[in-house]
Amino acid sequence: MNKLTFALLLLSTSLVSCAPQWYTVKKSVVDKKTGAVLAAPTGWKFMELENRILITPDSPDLGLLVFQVLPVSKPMKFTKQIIQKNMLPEDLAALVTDNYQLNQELTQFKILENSPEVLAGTEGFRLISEYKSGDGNPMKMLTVGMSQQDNAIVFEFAAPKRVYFDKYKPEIEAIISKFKISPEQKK
Amino acid sequence: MTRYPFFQNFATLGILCFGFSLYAQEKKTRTFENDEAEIWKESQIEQRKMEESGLIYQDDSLTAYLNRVLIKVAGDEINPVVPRVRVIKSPVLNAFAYPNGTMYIHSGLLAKMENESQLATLFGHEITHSTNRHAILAFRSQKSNSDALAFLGIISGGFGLIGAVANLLGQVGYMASVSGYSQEKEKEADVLGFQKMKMAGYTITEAPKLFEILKRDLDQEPPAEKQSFFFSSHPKLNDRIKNYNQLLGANSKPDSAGVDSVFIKVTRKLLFDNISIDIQSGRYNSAYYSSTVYIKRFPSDYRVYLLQAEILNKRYPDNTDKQAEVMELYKKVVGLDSTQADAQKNLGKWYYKKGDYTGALPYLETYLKLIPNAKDKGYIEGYIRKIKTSMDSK
Repeated sequence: MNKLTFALLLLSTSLVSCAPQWYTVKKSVVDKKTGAVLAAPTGWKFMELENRILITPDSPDLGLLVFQVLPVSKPMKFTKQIIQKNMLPEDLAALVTDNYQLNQELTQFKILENSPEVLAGTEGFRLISEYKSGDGNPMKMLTVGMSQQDNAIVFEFAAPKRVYFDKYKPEIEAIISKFKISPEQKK
Repeated sequence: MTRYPFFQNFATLGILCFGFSLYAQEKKTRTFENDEAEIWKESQIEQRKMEESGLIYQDDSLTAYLNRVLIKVAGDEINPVVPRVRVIKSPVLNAFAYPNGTMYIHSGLLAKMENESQLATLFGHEITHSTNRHAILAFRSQKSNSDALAFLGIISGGFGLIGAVANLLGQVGYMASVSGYSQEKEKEADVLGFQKMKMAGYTITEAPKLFEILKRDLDQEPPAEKQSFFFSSHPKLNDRIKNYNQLLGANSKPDSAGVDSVFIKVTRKLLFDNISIDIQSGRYNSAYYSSTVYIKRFPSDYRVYLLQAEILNKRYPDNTDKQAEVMELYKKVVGLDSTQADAQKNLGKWYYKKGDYTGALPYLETYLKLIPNAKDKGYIEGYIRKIKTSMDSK
């Protein structure tokens, strides 16, 4: 094996090993950047991506919880509005809603509920919405979020409206209600 | 019949040859017609998707007015093209026409116009693409089938970055809306479009002005996406300005359409609504500019001051002077009309965010008195609770 072949083999091996993968939750999942702890039920699967953790009870198509840490002063993907530090909960909810409304993957998007929520001891918001996915499936989504000094934390749980959203919602709400941030990270 | 088999076979062969040549001719003709029919059919499918998308702006009087202007510009001899205008809720500066004459104009572009002559300039340009069959000519100009396929491939491929409307466009709409036609065809649309607006009696000096306004807006608010729509592209706007100035030639004496009160009246709601569309898309410079235009046109409509405050609040969250301006705008509206609930709420939230609970409380309470079942009642009650707890603890 010459040096080039060896280098290519090494590169391909490292690429495979770096690709995000689904792991099974043992006790809880810890976000490395914020130290936030997500207590997902044992046996559920999670995947770590940059600024996001994905958790699914079974298959992402049947229910997917996304934990996101959104930095302040950066534009959101679709609205191009920026998240400000310490936003009032309803202002952050409006920003997140604008972002959904401009996302063409979510057609016929509609907010069903918009109310205050406490997340990790901080005042936040809670949205329930429905939409049709890119392939036309009716979906329902629970979004809970709050704003801090340096970032906003947002949970999004989306599942097919029929059966799966209601089936997993209690467990998802339990994950969100048990969510913790260490005091030094809470800024 | 079996006595002259040679002649019989010869005659059969002749008939077959004649038939084949007719078939080939018919096939050629049919192919010729089929591709255009296919493009029209594709246009209808794309338009249906657009209609069902929820992106069509609903204002019957505006739509009726736009249709009247388009028909006036298009003239009579345009069969089978049927001129029709639809407005898309989109802040992007763009408009495009399908081969069948249906024209889509983005609210962002319409909101930037100053008068009907500028609108007629745009309509003249766009309807020429339909009447002169630019879509099918562009398709046929491809040198080979593979070029044609590549041409369609481009269209069905990379428009992920140009926003909501682009995602709905198919191949025909993409060509009309994003890539545009060849320089020659675009120039033809400029020349014939100019003639159409002139024949219809519009002020021709407004023609290049339209594109100068669009260029100025583009400088203020460059598109967020790497790939831009046809009228959101500097080189293409420069071409339009150059062509229309050449067309004006000796007629380029200072002349203006003046204040066009009909246009201003009929586009009022759209101008206002497009400010919110701009804000939602984070296009604060464009939103602010439109708010100043709106104030000039309708100074007594205080709702626009709320939008102006929202723009400044989002654009300059940490700028003390701008924040003071935000507060003054809210106070101005409350001063003009104390029953303006949104102004009461926003003023209360402004004080609350600054930590001035004493300042916030009366406005938040007034808001809930004005709208007891407000959708955001839960949030406002939460702020009031927190204020009162804080006051009690002192």
